[in-house]
Amino acid sequence: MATSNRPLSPHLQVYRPQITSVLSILHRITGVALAVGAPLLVWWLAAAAIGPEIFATTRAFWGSWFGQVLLLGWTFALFFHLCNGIRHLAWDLGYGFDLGTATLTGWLVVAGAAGLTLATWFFAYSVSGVLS
Amino acid sequence: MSGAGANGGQNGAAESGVSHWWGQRLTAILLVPLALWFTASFVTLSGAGLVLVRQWIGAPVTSLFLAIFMASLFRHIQLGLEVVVDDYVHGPTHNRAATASIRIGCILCTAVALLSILVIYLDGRG
Repeated sequence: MATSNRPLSPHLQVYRPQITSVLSILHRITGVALAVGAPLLVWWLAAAAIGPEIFATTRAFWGSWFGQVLLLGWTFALFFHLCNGIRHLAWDLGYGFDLGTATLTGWLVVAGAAGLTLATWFFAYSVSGVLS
Repeated sequence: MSGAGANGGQNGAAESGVSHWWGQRLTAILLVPLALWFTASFVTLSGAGLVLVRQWIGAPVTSLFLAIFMASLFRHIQLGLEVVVDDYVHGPTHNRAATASIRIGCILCTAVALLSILVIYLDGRG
């Protein structure tokens, strides 16, 4: 096909960033990041099914600073994608499409994702080790 | 819309595009409560040992919800990644190869997750 030199959509760099467009691309980026993380949940389930040695290895990995940084990133990605996903579902039903509302709900999504991430990690560290 | 399935029916994307769109939304609606429930439980289990984790996974209600969560999660991931691939991976060969890898990966992840849940559930019963 003689298509190789055509400009291809989406070419984002020609637009000035706005909250609506930035959140739109962030929805996709967090979605891909969560897709990368999801197999690790399967690893966790499989490790629990297989036995103590491999489960201890996965537990040590998630408890390491590297594992914790990954989990923090995925926590934010999850809450962002979830909150913004609800915003998308509202749009699918025809609600909140005008520019003022879309800007406002966009900032609400950012605040909600940040708040839920902080609350989750505060809770995680207060209950960590309570159950063992 | 999706590479391999787009020309499957006689009406092409007019059929497969709509079912792709619906599948993405239906799994999204399922995933809102399931992801919140899973995150809350996972966080509550942080630092917990294998015995407690298996007790949680193997409880009847948990194993059912976990199975639904894993199946809808990987279906949602498959549909979402297919859209990304269609936007960025051009050329029929590369597009099909990428789409096929995504589908195989998602089927494998779902299978391993469901099998692990089943093994732990049965172990808890017996």
